[in-house]
This record gives sequence, C-alpha cells and structure tokens, in this order.
Amino acid sequence: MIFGLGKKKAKQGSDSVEAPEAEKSKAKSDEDKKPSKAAKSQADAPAGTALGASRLRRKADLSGFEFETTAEIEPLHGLIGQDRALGALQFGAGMPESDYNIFVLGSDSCGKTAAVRQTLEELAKSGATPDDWVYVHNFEDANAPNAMQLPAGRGKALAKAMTDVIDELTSTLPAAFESEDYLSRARALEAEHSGSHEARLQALSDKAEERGIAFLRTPMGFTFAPMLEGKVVKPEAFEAMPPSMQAEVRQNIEALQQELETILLEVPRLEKSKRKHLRLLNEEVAQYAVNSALEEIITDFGDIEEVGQYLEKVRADLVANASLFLDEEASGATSIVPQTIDSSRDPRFRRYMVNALIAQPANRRGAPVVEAVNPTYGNIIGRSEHLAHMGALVTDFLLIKPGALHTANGGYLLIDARKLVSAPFAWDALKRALQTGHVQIEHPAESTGLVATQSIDPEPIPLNIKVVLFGDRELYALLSRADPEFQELFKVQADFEDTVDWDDENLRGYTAMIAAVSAKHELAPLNREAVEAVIEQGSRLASDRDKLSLEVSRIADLVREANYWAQKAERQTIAREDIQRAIAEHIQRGDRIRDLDRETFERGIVMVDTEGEKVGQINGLSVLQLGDFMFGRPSRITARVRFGPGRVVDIEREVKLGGPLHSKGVMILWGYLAGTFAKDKPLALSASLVFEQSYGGVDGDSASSTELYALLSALSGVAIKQGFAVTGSVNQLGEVQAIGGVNEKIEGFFDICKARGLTGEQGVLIPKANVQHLMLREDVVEAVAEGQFNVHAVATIEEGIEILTGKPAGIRGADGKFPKDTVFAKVEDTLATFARRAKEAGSFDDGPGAAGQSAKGATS
Amino acid sequence: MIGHVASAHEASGRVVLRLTSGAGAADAAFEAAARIAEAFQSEIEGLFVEERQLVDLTAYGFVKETSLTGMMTRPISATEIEREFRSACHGMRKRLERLGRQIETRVITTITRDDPLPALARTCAAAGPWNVVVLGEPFRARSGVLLGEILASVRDATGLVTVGPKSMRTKGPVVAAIENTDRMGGLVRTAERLASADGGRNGGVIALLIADDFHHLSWLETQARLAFSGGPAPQFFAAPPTRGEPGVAAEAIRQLKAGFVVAQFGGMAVPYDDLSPLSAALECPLFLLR
Repeated sequence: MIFGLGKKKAKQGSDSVEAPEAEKSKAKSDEDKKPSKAAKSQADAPAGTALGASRLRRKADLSGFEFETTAEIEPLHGLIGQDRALGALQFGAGMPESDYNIFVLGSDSCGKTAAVRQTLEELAKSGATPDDWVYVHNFEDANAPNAMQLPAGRGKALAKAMTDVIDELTSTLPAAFESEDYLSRARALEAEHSGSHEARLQALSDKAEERGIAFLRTPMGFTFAPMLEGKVVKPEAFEAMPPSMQAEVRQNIEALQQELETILLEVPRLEKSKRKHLRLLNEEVAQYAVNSALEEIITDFGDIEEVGQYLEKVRADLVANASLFLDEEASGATSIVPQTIDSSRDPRFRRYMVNALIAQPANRRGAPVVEAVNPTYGNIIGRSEHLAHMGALVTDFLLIKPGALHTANGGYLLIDARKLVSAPFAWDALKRALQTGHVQIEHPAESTGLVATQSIDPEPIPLNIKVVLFGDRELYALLSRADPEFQELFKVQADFEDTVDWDDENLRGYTAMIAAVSAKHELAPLNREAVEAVIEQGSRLASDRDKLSLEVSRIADLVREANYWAQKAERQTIAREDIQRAIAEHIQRGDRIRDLDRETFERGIVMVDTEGEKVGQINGLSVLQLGDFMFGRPSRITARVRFGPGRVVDIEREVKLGGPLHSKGVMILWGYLAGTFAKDKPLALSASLVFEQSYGGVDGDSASSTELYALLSALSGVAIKQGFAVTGSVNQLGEVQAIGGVNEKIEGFFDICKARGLTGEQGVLIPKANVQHLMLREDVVEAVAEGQFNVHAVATIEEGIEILTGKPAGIRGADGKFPKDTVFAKVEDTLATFARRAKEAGSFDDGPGAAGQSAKGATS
Repeated sequence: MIGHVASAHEASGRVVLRLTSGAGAADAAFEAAARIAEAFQSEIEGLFVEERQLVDLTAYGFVKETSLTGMMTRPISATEIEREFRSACHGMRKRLERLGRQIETRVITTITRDDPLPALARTCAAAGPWNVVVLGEPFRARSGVLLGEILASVRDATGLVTVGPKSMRTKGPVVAAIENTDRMGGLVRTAERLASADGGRNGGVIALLIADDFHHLSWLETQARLAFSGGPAPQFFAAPPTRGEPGVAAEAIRQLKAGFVVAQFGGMAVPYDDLSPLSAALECPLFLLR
C-alpha cells in the first residue's frame, strides 16, 4: 500500500476552496437538488466544507473555439508548454564546445524523444554534411589500420575503385608475367646464371675426361675416379698401373676436386645474383601493370592528399608482391567453370581493399541525427569482428564495424540514458570518446585480458558530435551524484514539463496536439465533445484540475483507442462516448487486481464499515498502482488508549511494515496531542495505532490525520461515523495538509459504498488544499450531485472531527478549558485522568514522546 | 610399341621408372610416369639402380666425395656409400608409394646393383615388350647420345620418357611433334591417349607440324589433314620453317605451353647430338617413341 502517493505533485498551498462565481451558482444549484439525507449530512458539517458537484470535476468548454472536428484544425508541430526544454535544446545544440552535451529530462510519455528528434532534424538540415571515413591497411603496421577522411559520398567510390583495381590486376598481372617479352627476358637471365654454372661443370667434366678422369654423381654429391676408355678403372687394374701414372692420376683428381669446390661454392652467389636480377625484372614488369591499373583511381582521388599518399603505398606494395596475383590455383584460372573473382573475399587481396566505415548516402544533405536504439558498447563505439581461422579468431581492418558515434559523427546522437548505463562498458566508453575527442575502437575484453584473440588497434577517428541523453529526473540526479564527469560532459539539461496550465492558449495548443495525433495516425477526426473529453482526461492524468498532462503518448494512446471504438460503432468521427469507452476499456483491461480487491470487501473478508458509528475506528484511504493504473482502497484504522508511560505504539513500525514517512506522521500526532492537551501536565498516555488487515508495507503520511481522528475518538470516547473515509496528513498544529492520489482515493471508497448501496451519509474527507486536484469520475460527480455521496474539504483537525463525530470539537475558552461536551473537552478529561493516575503511581514520564518509543527511549 | 598399343586401343604395358643412385630425380618424371600409367592403365615399376661403379670407387683410398654445396669433401667409404644408397632408395620408395596411392595404381619397387643401362634392359626384358621407360634424372645438353643408347639397348620398351632441367608443367595440351607422315598416326594416337587421361580438360591434342621450309610444311599439313579427315582430328599448329636450326622447333614447343610432348627421337625436335635448345625450352615431360 502506498500512502501519500503523488505527494510530490500535490500543491501544498493555501489555495482557496472558494469556487469562481459561475461555479458557485452552479454548485448551489447542485446542492439544491440534494435529498433530505444529504441535507442532514451537510447540516452536521462545518460550513463550507462540503464540496458541490461542480468542484469535483472540471469540465472542458470549447464552445468558444471555431471548429466542429479536428479535421478543421491545423495540427500542432512540436510541443506545447515546453519552451524551457526546447530553448535549452537549441542552446546545447548551438554550443560548439564538445562538453555541452544535452541531457533531456522528462517523463517517458511526454513525447520528448519525438520532439527532440524533430527539433534536431530541423537544425541538422542547415548543418554541414559530414565527411566519409574509411579504414585501410597500414603497410607499415598491419595491426594498426589507418583511418582516412574523404569528402562525403566518396568513401564507397574509393572502395569500389580499389576493388576494380584488384580485379583488373588479377587479369593483367598474370598476363604480364606470361608475356613473351617477360618470359624471354627471364629465360635469358636464367640462362645467364644457371648456364654459366652448368657450363663450368660441363667444362670441368670435359677437362676431367681429357685427363682420363671420370666425373660422377653420387647420391650426396660428386666424385672423380680414374677412367679408361670411358669406363671407371677397377681398383685392381689401377694398382697394376705404374706408380708414376698412379701419382699423376691422384694429382689430377686432387686438382679437379679443388676446382669443383670452387665452382660449387660460387653457386649461392650466382643464385643471389640471379634472384636479384629476377626481382628487378619482376618489379619492372609489375610496375607497368600496376601503374596502368592505378591510373584511373589516382586521377579520380588524387585531389585528396591522404588518399594520394595511400595509393603510392599501394603501388609499392603491389609491385613488391606481384606474385600474389600469379597463383593460378587460387585465382580459379584453371577451374573448369570460370568463376567471378570477388577480390574482397580473396585473402590474398584483402590488404588492398577499403573499408568504407562511414559512407554518406549520395543524397544526404545536412548533419545526421542518429538514435542508438540498443546502446551497447559495440553499438556505440564500433567493433572489430572476428573470423574463425584454423581454430583461432582473427580480424583485420575490413572487419571493423562502425558504432553510433561513427554514424552520428558531425551531427547528433540520441541515446536512452538508462539503457546506456545498463550496458557494460558503454557509459565509460562514451565518456572517454567525448573527453578525448576521438572514437577509438577496442575490444572491451582486451583491457581485462580475458580473451586471447588476434586484435587490431585502428587509428582513432576525430569526433565532432553532440550527444543527447534521454532519462528521467531520478537518473539525472543519480548520475550527477555518482559520476563527477557527468556534469562536466553534459552541461545542458533540457527539462520537459509534465503538465501545462489549463488556460485558453494551452487549450488551443492541446486541441491542435490532438489534431496532430489524429493526422499522424490517420485516425478519424474528433468532434468538439470528444476533444473536450480528451482535455478532461488530460487534466485527470495531471491529477490537477488546473493543469493538463503533457504525457503525449498516453493522450495519443487514448485517441487511437477511441478511434478503434468509433470504428466499431461505425462512426465517422470520434465522439465523447468513444473517449469514455476507451478510458473505461483501458481501466477494465487493467483492473483485475482491483476487482479482486473489491471482492474481498464485498464478501466481508476485509472488514471496512461504511455505516454506523464506532469509537476509535476510522476508514483510511490508500492507493495502489499497477503499471499506469492506480486505484484507491479503504483500510480500517483503529486506535486503543490507556494509562501508560507516555508513548504511542505504531504497530506498523513495530513489525517493520511502516516506512519512515509513516512513522514521521505518527510522531507528529504526539506533538499535536501534547501541544493541544498536555501543555501543563504529563502525557501519561499509552496508545496503539494499527492498519487492520494490512499485510504489506505502509508508507507516506497521508493517513496521519486519519490516525489522529481515531486517537481523538478513542481518547474522547466519541464515536466516528463509519460512512466516512479520511485522507490527509497533519502537522503539529492540527492543520490538514495535501496528499497525492486524491481522486483515486475518493473513487476507491465511493466504489465500496456504491457496491453496498449509497446512503447519502457516506463521503470522504480530503485536505482543503487538494480541492484543486479534483478530477473525479463522472459517476462520482453525479452521485454527489444527487446527494448520494459527499466530499468534504477540511483545513483543520477541528473541522474534520466535527464532520466525523457530528459533535463540536471545542475551542479553549478564556478559562483555558474546552467547553463541556465537546470532543476536545472529553479528550482533555481523559488525559487529565491518566496524568493524575500516573502521578499517583509515580511512574509517568512527560518526555517529548515518540511513536514506538518511551520517553526514556526504551522500546516495548 | 606403345604407339601400337595406343593405335590398337589396347590397355596394357608397364611403366618402368628408372631411378639411379647417382642423380636426383625430378618431380616431373614422377608425374609423367603417373600420367602414362593412368592413360594406359598400366602399373608402375620403380627401378632403383645402385650404381656398381660407385661401390667400386670405395676401394680407392684417395677418391673423395664433394658435397652438392661444395662445402665439404671427404673420403668415400663402402659403409658411407651403402648408407647413402639406402637413404636415397628409401626416399624414392616413399615417393613412389605416395604416387601409387594418388592415382590408385599398383606400384612395384625393384632395387638392383648394376650399371644403369644393363639394369634397365634386364628389367624391361623381364616384364615383357610393352614397357615405357621413364628416366628419373633430367637430360642435359649432351644427353642425346645416352638417350640413343637407351633406345638401342633396351629393346623391350616401346618408348622413352624424359624430362628437361626446366620441365615442371604437367598440365596443358599434349603436343605431338610431327616431322613426317610415317610416324604421324602413332604420335597423334599416343598424344590422344595421354590427353584422355584427364578427359581432355587440359587442352586436348595439338599436332605440331615441323619442317625445314614452307613447301615441306605445307605438304605435311595437307597430308596430316587428309589423314585425319575421316574422324576426330587434332588441332594443327605449324611451326616456323626450321631451316635446319633445332632451336626453332624447341621454341615452337615452348610456346604451346604443353603438358606433355610426344616426339620421335632423332628428328629436328629431338636431335641425336645437341639437346641444348630443347633442354632450355622444354617445360614439360617428353615422350620419345621408338
């Protein structure tokens, strides 16, 4: 249960409950209609507390507006009543400094996102179209891809042109290396080098042969042996030769072997020389093909200095690595079915591709306005994706994907703040980008060292962006408090109003807004009465008869649902009954819990009296909220008193079901009792207060006046009329203060009474300050008008207790005493009796008192 | 002869791949052996010849072996040469077995210690007349004599396959080098059979017509077209008149980027004496029909 819900919205002022003259006369007329029971109830009440039907709901009257349906009204462009927020937005967007980012505050349904987007898109039209950004291979460091900036629309063209260059080279480079010119020159080189080597070996062989020595190959090298008539001499034959001949053969073999060693040792040098010359030849041939392929792209992009430098590096790399293009198997040149070469998919050529990270559409004019729908780290900062290769995850510059910061660079980025701070690493990454003025793509896991994959370190891209965060006030406060950098980076807050004053100017705006909803969603037009009904619902949503809710999406939902019911009823225009039907159906769809709750009252499971009188028992009111549906329900509150050590036991607090605000309210009671009845004597009272059949938490102080009435009844022994329910907080002086959810609370009690049968003596006491918030359901208003139900606005406890008991509260006279037979006189008598007994017992304590605590601080 | 086998559409014969202990074997020779075996559905016999004279040399105390890099020279011993034989033989056996698995052909390995030529002649004689000899080591400029000796000594072989120092390509059209009408039929049929091994995907058969002068060339072309007019004909390509220069025919062969060349031994394409133009130009295996 939530007591005091909506307190923030409630105005705690001294608004007069006096109705305007016109309403006064109507109220009088309404009151004239009341039957005798109502008249009796009114008679018991202090003058002016009973509210006439006209005070319970404000009716919209657009009779002064010249239209029959919304089709005749110019739809609203933008929002009404948001000048402050939109001014802040314009200011933030116009500030060139990077730390003047914008935080848009407001309720979820106030239409702020659409309004901000519309405003920024208007501003963006006159902004400069941002440049394209591409990532290219870094030929010096492959793990640190380079970022290049190109005029808008040329990034994709560069990527396409590079693909074309590679496609062309896959044909022209192999052709160049298969040309007769190249082959003949290569053969000449080959012949020059290996020929000389071969020739020298052949010459050595010939020389050996001349000397009668055989030059032979062994499995591992070469050898020489004595030879005769073309055949190797058998050892035994050699031994038979004269020693001088043998010596000569040995010398010859020795000399030939030395010569052989010299020839063979020169092979590496010859090979090196051959490779060098072949490389120069290859470069010369490749240069020709590469220059030809690059000619067009250099002409097209040579005006961009950075691209020109990049193309020079590409040229050098292509020439040095022309062999990449000569692998026939990989290129598919020998395939049975010739295949189209997709250069970007061929791993050999990826380094020459261009990743057009940010490529502005050709028709883009102005700055981008981008909304990050799912603001995860990767979606904000960008990411480098990975491919599985041989069991490892690898990446390169072509796998870099842009984030929202990239796509919105040069313009505006819209992010839901709650989603952003909920996404791991995303908030810190955004701040880092704004602080450094660069967007740096890095894998978040790298910093933690949890993932061991190949990573790249792309060159950061300069950031020129205005970030617009959307959130509620709670989140704004939280971020301001918890993150010192937040205020540094988001210096502009665009605070959207929740409500707007109900005046003629805003009514016109509201009507135009309704027309805009109808036009945007292509709905049937609304007639005047339907618009009036929407306006009244707007006021109800604002919980204030002098305000109109700016929850645009809820208003739009209402109109769209009404359109549905109008179509069902085969009406061409949306009428008041369609609006009412939509409201009723919306409530009906969401009020299952309320129905179950009502049933517990009807079946007597939850005990609440709506007739008769009881001492120390009263009906309090609370509000339950389920989603956007709120409803009120009564609760029985009872008070018991006895002589005691001076304490009020708040049973809710004792069992830890009471929240701090509730406890505060109970403590205030003590102050009121002590100040009013025990200025000169000890307050020897022991009292207990409880919300009967309450099994959930209780918070808020909107029941404090109710509890005080119960306590006064218990102390005085004067019964309280159970046909009343009460809401309102109280201060130590006995003034009844405004609370929230007043409409739901009244309707909640009304529904219970209605189910049991309205008697005309039933009603609700509300704080006087809440009269301005009354926008009750029409059936409640009708019941009041017919005298079947009552709503009293009270300013003080004295007024309230008189209505509840039908007896005067009592005003202390010149003798310092309350008049006899007044409620307060009886209270004072009881307290005096307690004090006397305590004095007799010598055990009282007249400390300040506290709910749930004795004066000495001991808890029971 | 294998040409006869091809002409008669017979499917038999054996490929004898001769590998000597004294020289490194070229990859192209292995691939050539495989292609012929596939084309003629024959088995492959790897003949590893441990050269007897290298063993004999170990008896010389002063004979030394210089490594291929020239960095090391050491006395040659019987133990060392035996070890080198075993090592080389083991490596070649592995290559052969791998080759057999790839083309799903039976492979036999024979090791013999002898002089290379008699060893080859004896092995071919043992296997019957329908052998094709594939030489593992590339031929050199002066290998013409050796090729002639093999063709003369090894009677039980219908052809001889050899590779040049630059022979690395085995994919491409099969070129039949035709220099006269007598051998034309056998050469073309053999080329067609070789081309059929891969379904003709590498370019089919090109009949390269080689003659001294235009007149002879024109006559040869006419005869060739007449000879094949009744059925599927190869693609004809006329080489420039050679004017007695062997380099012209070699260059024409190179320009066709052949995967295999079929030729007769002793003509202008493959002369008896100087093979240097062909060794510089030949980029694929060469099939010499007897």
